[in-house]
Amino acid sequence: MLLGHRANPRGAMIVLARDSDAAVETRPLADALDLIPPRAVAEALCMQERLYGVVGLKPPDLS
Amino acid sequence: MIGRHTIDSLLDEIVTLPSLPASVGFITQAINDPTSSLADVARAVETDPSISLKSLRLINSAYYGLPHKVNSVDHAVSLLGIKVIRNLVYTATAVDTFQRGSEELFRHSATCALLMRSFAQTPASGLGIDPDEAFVYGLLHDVGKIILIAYLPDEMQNAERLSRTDRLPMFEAERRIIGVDHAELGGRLAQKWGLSEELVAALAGHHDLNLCRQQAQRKVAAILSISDFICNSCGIVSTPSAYYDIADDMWDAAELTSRKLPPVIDRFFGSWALIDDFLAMAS
Repeated sequence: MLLGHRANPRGAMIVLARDSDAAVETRPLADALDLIPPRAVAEALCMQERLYGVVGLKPPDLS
Repeated sequence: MIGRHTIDSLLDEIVTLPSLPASVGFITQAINDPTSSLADVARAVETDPSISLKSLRLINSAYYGLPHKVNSVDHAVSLLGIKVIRNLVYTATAVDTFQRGSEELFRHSATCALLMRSFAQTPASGLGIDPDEAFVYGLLHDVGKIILIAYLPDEMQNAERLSRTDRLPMFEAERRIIGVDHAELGGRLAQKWGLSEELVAALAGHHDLNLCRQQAQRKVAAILSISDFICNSCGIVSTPSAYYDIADDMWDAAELTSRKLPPVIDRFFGSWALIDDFLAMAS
């Protein structure tokens, strides 16, 4: 998962590797919701808000 | 240090659940009595100055967004109706209760309340309860923690330590150290207070769906658990150093697909300012 600003339609992308030889494919999260479980969607949206959002959530400690 | 308990032995020997203020019982009775008029309900609310004041502050807060200021309980009851007043009284009572707990716990509970309201305001989520009622579910979901922290502070510190070191959710650490978790205790408190069977089941079952007897109750309890998890994922935690997680069965029981979540979470972040308004109103 690649995260950026929520206002950007490509602000949350999932990276798909179909098999070990193929090039990776990226898709906006909104277009790939059926490929990932709801827990991952919730965690991605919360992390995106913590990193780039406007409501003032405390950023995660990534150290 | 105490030994491990069952919920009944804990309640018999150590914990005395606080009573609902007599005035709230009186108000609930007036609300539930089909022969009561709106004026009767208003008079019942007015018997408790603290609940009256908090109710008026809530009504005039951004949460309700009314165009005109409401200056009397009588006016509030006639304007908003009995159902809203009932949730208002429960909310004001919960605020009173949370003033005995930590600031983190109150903020986490208010945030979970707003998220439950967002679920209820998004029909596709399938929560199927009134948004004000959903707010009360979120606000009260961790009320059992206040009791455990008040009566068993050392055991709760040990549970927090165990949660952190063994990467166990707090409710699991409570079960191992105390024998009972905050959710089941919160359900008992709601039962003692005479709150609805649905609310009792949701509070008790939000970490153990087996405590819900009906399918509809399991669904609400699961959405409450997911709201709790999302608040934790946002960094709004009730127990700062504890580990958090959610059981996989909650997602199935909630019948929430990945497509249903983004509109709820968008609505939640979009109304975020209400949390600070609510906390300021309650302080």
